[in-house]
Amino acid sequence: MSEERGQAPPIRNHIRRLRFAHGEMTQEELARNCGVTRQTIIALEGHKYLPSLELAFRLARAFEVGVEEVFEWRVERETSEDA
Amino acid sequence: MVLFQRSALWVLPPLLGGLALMLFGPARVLGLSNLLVGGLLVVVSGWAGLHLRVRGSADENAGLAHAEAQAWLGALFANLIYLVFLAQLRTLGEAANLAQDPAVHMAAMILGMFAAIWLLLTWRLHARYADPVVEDERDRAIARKTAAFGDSALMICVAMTALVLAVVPTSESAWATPPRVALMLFNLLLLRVALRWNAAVLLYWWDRR
Repeated sequence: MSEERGQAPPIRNHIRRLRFAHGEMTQEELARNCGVTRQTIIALEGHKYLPSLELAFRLARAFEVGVEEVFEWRVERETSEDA
Repeated sequence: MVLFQRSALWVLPPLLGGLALMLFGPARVLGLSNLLVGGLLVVVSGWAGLHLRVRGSADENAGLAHAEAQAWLGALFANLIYLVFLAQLRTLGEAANLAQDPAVHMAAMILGMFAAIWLLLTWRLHARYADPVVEDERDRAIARKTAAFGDSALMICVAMTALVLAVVPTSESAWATPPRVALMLFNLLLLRVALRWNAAVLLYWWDRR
């Protein structure tokens, strides 16, 4: 389910950018590749939903990249930059 | 939401008209039961609204997922069936013999007909979606929550009913004849179904907004 409203999720994704980088893949195509509905892709691109680990891997596989290229944990990066 | 899409606003007058006919209309309309005519009006306008919303799926950020559309359909019919049942509750409660009363037969026929239309439209909606993905992890999470909510509501209602029947003195519980207790239990069952689908619609609305 989506995270609490009003709070920016620490995990961001680059699905929209990756979709366009992969021959302007449509949301429908990506959804079909990952076995989810288009509404879930819309929610992911709008950063309104944090997917399960399985779906994260499915998305990464659809783009033929690693999970960390699709998702980015901003809190960790800020912490490591501070250190 | 289906009812608040501008393109689907025209379904509101017949939908509300159908509800008004069911709740406040004369007992017979065009020679038929007001519940039947009003209910059919609600079904046709509700289905049209849902169809319009599903057709919007060509837009980038519009359209309904299969499970979401089923939730709207479920809420429409579960509420309708519960409303018909409540409207007939007095008639059913006063029937001397539930199995042989013509009014009970009529109420059962109307309820059965709406249940059959619900099944038919569920099948039609399923056939309309060519997408192989019927539901995903978000839909399953919503289904789990609504089922848990429905079960909890049913458990509380049954416990309260049992408590009332157990606590009320025998002299004051003459009304609780076996047919009326049976109706009460059936009422709880229909309430559970209606609550479950309404919760699903609410969760989808919250999730998609």
